[in-house]
Amino acid sequence: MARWVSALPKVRMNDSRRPIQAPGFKLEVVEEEVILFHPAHTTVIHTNRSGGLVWQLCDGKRSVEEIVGLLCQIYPDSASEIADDVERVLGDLTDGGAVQWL
Amino acid sequence: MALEKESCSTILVTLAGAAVSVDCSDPVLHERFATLFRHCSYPPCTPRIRFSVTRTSKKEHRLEREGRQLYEGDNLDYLSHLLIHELMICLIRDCVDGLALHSGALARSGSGLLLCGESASGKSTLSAWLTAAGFDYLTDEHAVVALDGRSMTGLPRAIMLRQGSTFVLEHWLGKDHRRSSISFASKSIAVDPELLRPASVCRRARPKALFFPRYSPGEPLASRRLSAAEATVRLVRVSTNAAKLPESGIPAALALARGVEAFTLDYPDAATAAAWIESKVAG
Repeated sequence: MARWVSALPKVRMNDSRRPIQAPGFKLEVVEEEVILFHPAHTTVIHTNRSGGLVWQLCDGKRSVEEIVGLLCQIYPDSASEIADDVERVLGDLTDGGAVQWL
Repeated sequence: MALEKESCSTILVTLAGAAVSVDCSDPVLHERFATLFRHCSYPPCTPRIRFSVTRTSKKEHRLEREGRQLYEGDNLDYLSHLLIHELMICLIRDCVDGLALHSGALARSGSGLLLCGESASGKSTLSAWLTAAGFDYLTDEHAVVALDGRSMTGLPRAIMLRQGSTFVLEHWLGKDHRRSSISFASKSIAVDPELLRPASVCRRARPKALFFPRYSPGEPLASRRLSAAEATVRLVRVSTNAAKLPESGIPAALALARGVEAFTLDYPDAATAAAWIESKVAG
Protein backbone atom coordinates (compact mmCIF):
# COMPACT_ATOMS: atom_id res chain seq x y z
CA MET A 1 0.00 0.00 0.00
CA ALA A 2 1.14 3.55 -0.62
CA ARG A 3 2.84 5.29 2.31
CA TRP A 4 1.70 8.81 2.98
CA VAL A 5 3.63 11.22 5.15
CA SER A 6 1.67 13.35 7.58
CA ALA A 7 1.22 17.03 6.81
CA LEU A 8 3.87 19.50 7.91
CA PRO A 9 3.36 23.19 8.69
CA LYS A 10 2.15 25.27 5.77
CA VAL A 11 4.67 26.91 3.48
CA ARG A 12 4.87 30.70 3.61
CA MET A 13 6.33 33.08 1.06
CA ASN A 14 8.49 34.80 3.66
CA ASP A 15 9.70 31.46 4.98
CA SER A 16 13.44 31.73 5.46
CA ARG A 17 13.88 27.97 5.11
CA ARG A 18 14.99 26.51 1.81
CA PRO A 19 13.26 23.51 0.22
CA ILE A 20 15.34 20.59 -0.99
CA GLN A 21 14.42 17.44 -2.86
CA ALA A 22 14.07 14.55 -0.45
CA PRO A 23 16.83 11.97 -1.07
CA GLY A 24 15.95 9.11 -3.40
CA PHE A 25 12.91 10.61 -5.11
CA LYS A 26 12.68 10.31 -8.87
CA LEU A 27 10.68 12.33 -11.36
CA GLU A 28 8.86 10.71 -14.26
CA VAL A 29 7.02 12.67 -16.92
CA VAL A 30 3.78 10.91 -17.87
CA GLU A 31 2.15 12.49 -20.91
CA GLU A 32 1.47 16.08 -19.76
CA GLU A 33 1.82 15.30 -16.07
CA VAL A 34 4.44 14.24 -13.57
CA ILE A 35 4.80 11.62 -10.90
CA LEU A 36 7.40 11.77 -8.18
CA PHE A 37 8.22 8.49 -6.52
CA HIS A 38 10.65 6.95 -4.12
CA PRO A 39 11.99 3.65 -5.51
CA ALA A 40 12.62 2.20 -2.08
CA HIS A 41 9.17 3.01 -0.71
CA THR A 42 5.73 2.82 -2.22
CA THR A 43 5.47 6.59 -2.05
CA VAL A 44 4.14 8.16 -5.23
CA ILE A 45 2.89 11.69 -5.80
CA HIS A 46 0.96 13.00 -8.78
CA THR A 47 1.46 16.58 -9.90
CA ASN A 48 1.51 18.61 -13.09
CA ARG A 49 4.49 19.83 -15.10
CA SER A 50 4.62 23.06 -13.12
CA GLY A 51 4.74 21.05 -9.90
CA GLY A 52 7.56 18.99 -11.35
CA LEU A 53 9.43 22.17 -12.25
CA VAL A 54 9.02 23.54 -8.72
CA TRP A 55 10.39 20.27 -7.33
CA GLN A 56 13.37 20.45 -9.70
CA LEU A 57 14.14 23.95 -8.41
CA CYS A 58 14.27 22.71 -4.82
CA ASP A 59 18.06 22.50 -4.48
CA GLY A 60 18.45 23.51 -0.85
CA LYS A 61 20.02 26.83 -1.91
CA ARG A 62 17.00 28.79 -3.19
CA SER A 63 14.40 30.15 -0.80
CA VAL A 64 10.69 29.99 -1.64
CA GLU A 65 10.82 33.65 -2.58
CA GLU A 66 13.71 33.01 -4.93
CA ILE A 67 11.92 30.12 -6.60
CA VAL A 68 8.86 32.30 -7.11
CA GLY A 69 11.02 35.09 -8.53
CA LEU A 70 12.72 32.74 -10.95
CA LEU A 71 9.42 31.33 -12.21
CA CYS A 72 7.99 34.85 -12.59
CA GLN A 73 10.90 35.70 -14.89
CA ILE A 74 10.25 32.58 -16.97
CA TYR A 75 6.44 32.97 -17.03
CA PRO A 76 5.78 36.73 -16.68
CA ASP A 77 2.19 36.37 -17.93
CA SER A 78 1.36 34.13 -14.95
CA ALA A 79 3.27 36.12 -12.33
CA SER A 80 0.15 36.98 -10.35
CA GLU A 81 -0.66 33.29 -9.78
CA ILE A 82 2.80 31.87 -9.32
CA ALA A 83 3.34 32.72 -5.65
CA ASP A 84 0.13 30.98 -4.55
CA ASP A 85 0.80 28.03 -6.83
CA VAL A 86 4.35 27.54 -5.56
CA GLU A 87 3.19 27.64 -1.95
CA ARG A 88 0.45 25.10 -2.66
CA VAL A 89 2.78 22.82 -4.63
CA LEU A 90 5.47 22.93 -1.98
CA GLY A 91 2.87 22.15 0.67
CA ASP A 92 1.68 19.11 -1.30
CA LEU A 93 5.21 17.89 -2.01
CA THR A 94 6.17 18.35 1.62
CA ASP A 95 3.10 16.39 2.74
CA GLY A 96 4.03 13.63 0.27
CA GLY A 97 7.60 13.47 1.52
CA ALA A 98 9.24 14.61 -1.72
CA VAL A 99 10.49 17.91 -0.28
CA GLN A 100 12.41 18.58 2.89
CA TRP A 101 13.49 21.90 4.41
CA LEU A 102 16.80 23.37 5.40
CA MET B 1 -7.82 -46.61 -1.56
CA ALA B 2 -5.48 -44.88 0.85
CA LEU B 3 -3.75 -43.12 -2.01
CA GLU B 4 -7.06 -42.04 -3.51
CA LYS B 5 -8.15 -40.66 -0.16
CA GLU B 6 -4.86 -38.78 0.28
CA SER B 7 -5.04 -37.36 -3.18
CA CYS B 8 -8.65 -36.33 -2.74
CA SER B 9 -7.92 -34.44 0.47
CA THR B 10 -5.29 -32.10 -1.01
CA ILE B 11 -6.38 -28.90 -2.71
CA LEU B 12 -3.85 -26.93 -4.76
CA VAL B 13 -4.23 -23.15 -5.05
CA THR B 14 -2.05 -21.30 -7.54
CA LEU B 15 -1.64 -17.69 -8.57
CA ALA B 16 0.82 -16.38 -11.13
CA GLY B 17 3.35 -19.17 -10.61
CA ALA B 18 3.04 -19.32 -6.82
CA ALA B 19 1.25 -22.23 -5.15
CA VAL B 20 0.05 -23.42 -1.77
CA SER B 21 -1.74 -26.61 -0.83
CA VAL B 22 -4.50 -27.29 1.64
CA ASP B 23 -4.77 -30.74 3.16
CA CYS B 24 -8.14 -31.35 4.70
CA SER B 25 -9.25 -34.67 6.10
CA ASP B 26 -12.71 -33.52 7.12
CA PRO B 27 -15.12 -34.27 4.25
CA VAL B 28 -17.48 -31.38 4.95
CA LEU B 29 -14.72 -28.79 5.12
CA HIS B 30 -12.95 -30.39 2.18
CA GLU B 31 -16.08 -29.94 0.11
CA ARG B 32 -16.26 -26.30 1.15
CA PHE B 33 -12.63 -25.56 0.26
CA ALA B 34 -12.81 -27.59 -2.94
CA THR B 35 -15.77 -25.46 -4.01
CA LEU B 36 -14.08 -22.21 -3.00
CA PHE B 37 -10.92 -23.02 -4.96
CA ARG B 38 -12.31 -25.30 -7.65
CA HIS B 39 -10.83 -23.24 -10.50
CA CYS B 40 -7.62 -22.21 -8.74
CA SER B 41 -5.33 -25.18 -9.34
CA TYR B 42 -4.21 -24.29 -12.85
CA PRO B 43 -1.47 -24.44 -13.93
CA PRO B 44 -0.32 -27.19 -11.57
CA CYS B 45 2.92 -26.36 -9.78
CA THR B 46 4.74 -27.38 -6.65
CA PRO B 47 3.33 -25.78 -3.51
CA ARG B 48 5.81 -23.90 -1.37
CA ILE B 49 3.56 -23.69 1.67
CA ARG B 50 1.27 -26.37 3.02
CA PHE B 51 -1.82 -25.70 5.09
CA SER B 52 -3.66 -28.45 6.89
CA VAL B 53 -7.07 -28.64 8.49
CA THR B 54 -7.74 -31.52 10.85
CA ARG B 55 -10.64 -32.41 13.07
CA THR B 56 -9.49 -32.47 16.69
CA SER B 57 -12.78 -33.35 18.38
CA LYS B 58 -16.40 -33.79 17.45
CA LYS B 59 -16.86 -30.03 16.88
CA GLU B 60 -13.40 -28.57 16.75
CA HIS B 61 -10.87 -28.24 13.96
CA ARG B 62 -7.28 -27.07 13.81
CA LEU B 63 -5.75 -24.97 11.04
CA GLU B 64 -1.98 -25.18 10.61
CA ARG B 65 0.53 -23.62 8.26
CA GLU B 66 3.68 -25.68 7.83
CA GLY B 67 2.86 -27.43 11.10
CA ARG B 68 2.35 -24.20 13.04
CA GLN B 69 -1.08 -23.78 14.54
CA LEU B 70 -3.06 -20.76 13.35
CA TYR B 71 -6.42 -21.62 14.89
CA GLU B 72 -8.19 -24.33 16.85
CA GLY B 73 -11.87 -24.12 17.64
CA ASP B 74 -15.41 -24.72 16.47
CA ASN B 75 -15.96 -21.57 14.39
CA LEU B 76 -15.70 -22.98 10.89
CA ASP B 77 -16.54 -19.67 9.22
CA TYR B 78 -13.67 -17.99 11.01
CA LEU B 79 -11.39 -20.88 10.12
CA SER B 80 -12.41 -20.61 6.47
CA HIS B 81 -11.87 -16.87 6.28
CA LEU B 82 -8.55 -17.17 8.11
CA LEU B 83 -7.41 -19.86 5.67
CA ILE B 84 -8.36 -17.70 2.68
CA HIS B 85 -6.55 -14.71 4.19
CA GLU B 86 -3.41 -16.64 5.10
CA LEU B 87 -3.07 -18.47 1.82
CA MET B 88 -3.46 -15.19 -0.07
CA ILE B 89 -0.64 -13.69 1.97
CA CYS B 90 1.55 -16.67 1.03
CA LEU B 91 0.65 -16.51 -2.65
CA ILE B 92 1.24 -12.78 -2.90
CA ARG B 93 4.49 -13.00 -0.94
CA ASP B 94 5.81 -15.41 -3.57
CA CYS B 95 4.52 -13.36 -6.48
CA VAL B 96 7.40 -11.30 -7.88
CA ASP B 97 6.72 -11.64 -11.60
CA GLY B 98 3.83 -9.23 -11.66
CA LEU B 99 2.01 -6.40 -9.96
CA ALA B 100 -0.54 -7.91 -7.57
CA LEU B 101 -3.65 -5.78 -7.21
CA HIS B 102 -6.60 -5.74 -4.87
CA SER B 103 -8.88 -5.98 -7.85
CA GLY B 104 -11.60 -7.86 -9.62
CA ALA B 105 -10.70 -8.89 -13.16
CA LEU B 106 -12.87 -9.84 -16.10
CA ALA B 107 -12.46 -10.12 -19.85
CA ARG B 108 -14.34 -10.19 -23.08
CA SER B 109 -12.76 -11.64 -26.22
CA GLY B 110 -9.40 -11.56 -24.49
CA SER B 111 -9.62 -7.87 -23.57
CA GLY B 112 -9.38 -7.48 -19.82
CA LEU B 113 -10.80 -5.00 -17.38
CA LEU B 114 -9.77 -4.46 -13.79
CA LEU B 115 -12.04 -3.31 -10.98
CA CYS B 116 -9.60 -1.88 -8.46
CA GLY B 117 -10.48 -0.87 -4.94
CA GLU B 118 -10.54 -1.54 -1.27
CA SER B 119 -13.06 -3.73 0.52
CA ALA B 120 -16.71 -2.72 0.08
CA SER B 121 -16.05 -0.82 -3.14
CA GLY B 122 -18.13 -3.38 -5.01
CA LYS B 123 -15.48 -5.50 -6.74
CA SER B 124 -17.16 -8.83 -6.04
CA THR B 125 -20.69 -7.58 -6.70
CA LEU B 126 -19.70 -6.11 -10.05
CA SER B 127 -17.56 -9.15 -10.90
CA ALA B 128 -20.55 -11.44 -10.29
CA TRP B 129 -22.93 -9.27 -12.28
CA LEU B 130 -20.57 -8.88 -15.23
CA THR B 131 -19.80 -12.60 -15.26
CA ALA B 132 -23.49 -13.42 -15.43
CA ALA B 133 -23.91 -10.76 -18.13
CA GLY B 134 -21.35 -12.42 -20.41
CA PHE B 135 -17.86 -11.42 -19.31
CA ASP B 136 -15.21 -14.03 -18.59
CA TYR B 137 -14.17 -14.29 -14.96
CA LEU B 138 -10.58 -14.07 -13.75
CA THR B 139 -11.09 -13.06 -10.12
CA ASP B 140 -13.23 -11.02 -7.78
CA GLU B 141 -10.39 -9.94 -5.48
CA HIS B 142 -6.79 -10.73 -6.47
CA ALA B 143 -5.37 -9.95 -9.91
CA VAL B 144 -1.77 -10.01 -11.08
CA VAL B 145 -0.60 -7.92 -14.03
CA ALA B 146 2.70 -8.68 -15.79
CA LEU B 147 5.42 -6.14 -15.11
CA ASP B 148 5.18 -4.88 -18.69
CA GLY B 149 1.44 -4.35 -18.29
CA ARG B 150 0.58 -6.56 -21.25
CA SER B 151 -1.14 -9.51 -19.63
CA MET B 152 -3.09 -10.25 -16.50
CA THR B 153 -4.29 -13.23 -14.56
CA GLY B 154 -6.23 -13.73 -11.35
CA LEU B 155 -7.26 -16.05 -8.59
CA PRO B 156 -10.57 -17.43 -9.90
CA ARG B 157 -11.91 -18.41 -6.51
CA ALA B 158 -15.63 -18.63 -5.81
CA ILE B 159 -17.09 -15.12 -5.83
CA MET B 160 -17.57 -13.90 -2.28
CA LEU B 161 -20.72 -11.84 -1.94
CA ARG B 162 -21.59 -10.00 1.24
CA GLN B 163 -25.08 -10.07 2.66
CA GLY B 164 -26.12 -6.92 0.81
CA SER B 165 -24.95 -8.26 -2.54
CA THR B 166 -26.78 -11.56 -2.76
CA PHE B 167 -29.44 -9.84 -4.87
CA VAL B 168 -27.08 -10.52 -7.76
CA LEU B 169 -27.70 -14.24 -7.37
CA GLU B 170 -31.43 -13.79 -7.00
CA HIS B 171 -31.46 -11.66 -10.14
CA TRP B 172 -29.50 -14.11 -12.29
CA LEU B 173 -30.17 -17.49 -10.68
CA GLY B 174 -33.55 -17.06 -8.99
CA LYS B 175 -34.52 -18.03 -5.48
CA ASP B 176 -32.86 -21.46 -5.60
CA HIS B 177 -29.31 -20.12 -5.72
CA ARG B 178 -28.56 -21.14 -2.12
CA ARG B 179 -28.64 -24.81 -3.04
CA SER B 180 -25.52 -24.41 -5.15
CA SER B 181 -23.53 -21.89 -3.14
CA ILE B 182 -21.70 -21.78 0.20
CA SER B 183 -23.39 -19.77 2.90
CA PHE B 184 -21.48 -18.38 5.85
CA ALA B 185 -22.89 -17.46 9.26
CA SER B 186 -22.18 -13.80 8.40
CA LYS B 187 -24.78 -14.30 5.64
CA SER B 188 -22.16 -13.78 2.98
CA ILE B 189 -22.23 -16.30 0.16
CA ALA B 190 -19.55 -17.86 -2.03
CA VAL B 191 -20.75 -18.79 -5.50
CA ASP B 192 -18.96 -20.70 -8.23
CA PRO B 193 -18.63 -18.29 -11.20
CA GLU B 194 -19.63 -21.09 -13.54
CA LEU B 195 -23.03 -21.22 -11.87
CA LEU B 196 -23.54 -17.67 -13.01
CA ARG B 197 -22.46 -18.58 -16.51
CA PRO B 198 -21.05 -21.92 -17.68
CA ALA B 199 -17.44 -21.93 -18.94
CA SER B 200 -16.96 -18.38 -17.71
CA VAL B 201 -13.60 -18.90 -15.99
CA CYS B 202 -10.72 -17.36 -17.91
CA ARG B 203 -6.99 -17.72 -17.16
CA ARG B 204 -5.41 -14.77 -18.90
CA ALA B 205 -6.31 -11.57 -20.71
CA ARG B 206 -4.74 -8.42 -22.05
CA PRO B 207 -5.53 -5.37 -19.90
CA LYS B 208 -7.59 -2.76 -21.73
CA ALA B 209 -9.45 -0.81 -19.08
CA LEU B 210 -9.12 0.11 -15.42
CA PHE B 211 -12.02 1.09 -13.21
CA PHE B 212 -11.90 2.38 -9.67
CA PRO B 213 -15.46 1.74 -8.49
CA ARG B 214 -17.11 3.23 -5.44
CA TYR B 215 -20.58 2.25 -4.38
CA SER B 216 -22.63 5.42 -3.82
CA PRO B 217 -26.27 4.44 -3.22
CA GLY B 218 -28.81 7.10 -4.05
CA GLU B 219 -26.38 9.12 -6.15
CA PRO B 220 -26.37 9.32 -9.94
CA LEU B 221 -23.60 7.46 -11.74
CA ALA B 222 -20.51 9.64 -11.99
CA SER B 223 -17.25 8.94 -13.72
CA ARG B 224 -14.06 10.71 -14.63
CA ARG B 225 -11.33 9.67 -17.02
CA LEU B 226 -8.01 9.38 -15.20
CA SER B 227 -4.68 10.40 -16.63
CA ALA B 228 -1.93 7.78 -16.66
CA ALA B 229 -0.24 9.59 -13.79
CA GLU B 230 -3.40 9.59 -11.68
CA ALA B 231 -4.03 5.94 -12.47
CA THR B 232 -0.46 5.07 -11.48
CA VAL B 233 -0.89 6.64 -8.06
CA ARG B 234 -4.16 4.77 -7.53
CA LEU B 235 -2.68 1.47 -8.72
CA VAL B 236 0.18 1.67 -6.24
CA ARG B 237 -2.37 2.28 -3.48
CA VAL B 238 -4.27 -0.91 -4.32
CA SER B 239 -1.21 -3.04 -4.98
CA THR B 240 -0.59 -5.82 -2.50
CA ASN B 241 3.01 -6.55 -3.46
CA ALA B 242 4.43 -3.24 -4.75
CA ALA B 243 7.00 -3.09 -1.98
CA LYS B 244 8.55 -6.35 -3.19
CA LEU B 245 8.92 -5.30 -6.82
CA PRO B 246 11.71 -3.32 -8.50
CA GLU B 247 11.40 0.38 -7.59
CA SER B 248 8.41 -0.41 -5.41
CA GLY B 249 6.33 -1.53 -8.37
CA ILE B 250 5.94 2.01 -9.70
CA PRO B 251 7.36 1.26 -13.18
CA ALA B 252 4.99 -1.72 -13.39
CA ALA B 253 2.01 0.42 -12.35
CA LEU B 254 3.07 3.05 -14.86
CA ALA B 255 3.40 0.48 -17.65
CA LEU B 256 -0.12 -0.75 -16.95
CA ALA B 257 -1.57 2.76 -16.66
CA ARG B 258 0.01 3.84 -19.95
CA GLY B 259 -1.52 0.91 -21.82
CA VAL B 260 -5.14 1.20 -20.75
CA GLU B 261 -8.01 3.64 -20.30
CA ALA B 262 -8.71 4.36 -16.65
CA PHE B 263 -11.82 5.73 -14.98
CA THR B 264 -13.25 6.48 -11.59
CA LEU B 265 -16.76 5.09 -11.23
CA ASP B 266 -19.18 6.15 -8.51
CA TYR B 267 -22.27 4.03 -9.05
CA PRO B 268 -25.69 3.67 -7.46
CA ASP B 269 -26.32 0.01 -8.27
CA ALA B 270 -24.66 -2.94 -9.97
CA ALA B 271 -26.92 -3.03 -13.02
CA THR B 272 -26.26 0.64 -13.84
CA ALA B 273 -22.52 0.23 -13.32
CA ALA B 274 -22.34 -2.94 -15.39
CA ALA B 275 -24.20 -1.32 -18.29
CA TRP B 276 -21.83 1.64 -18.19
CA ILE B 277 -18.74 -0.59 -18.02
CA GLU B 278 -20.05 -2.63 -20.96
CA SER B 279 -20.51 0.55 -22.98
CA LYS B 280 -16.94 1.64 -22.22
CA VAL B 281 -15.45 -1.74 -23.09
CA ALA B 282 -17.53 -2.01 -26.26
CA GLY B 283 -16.50 1.51 -27.30
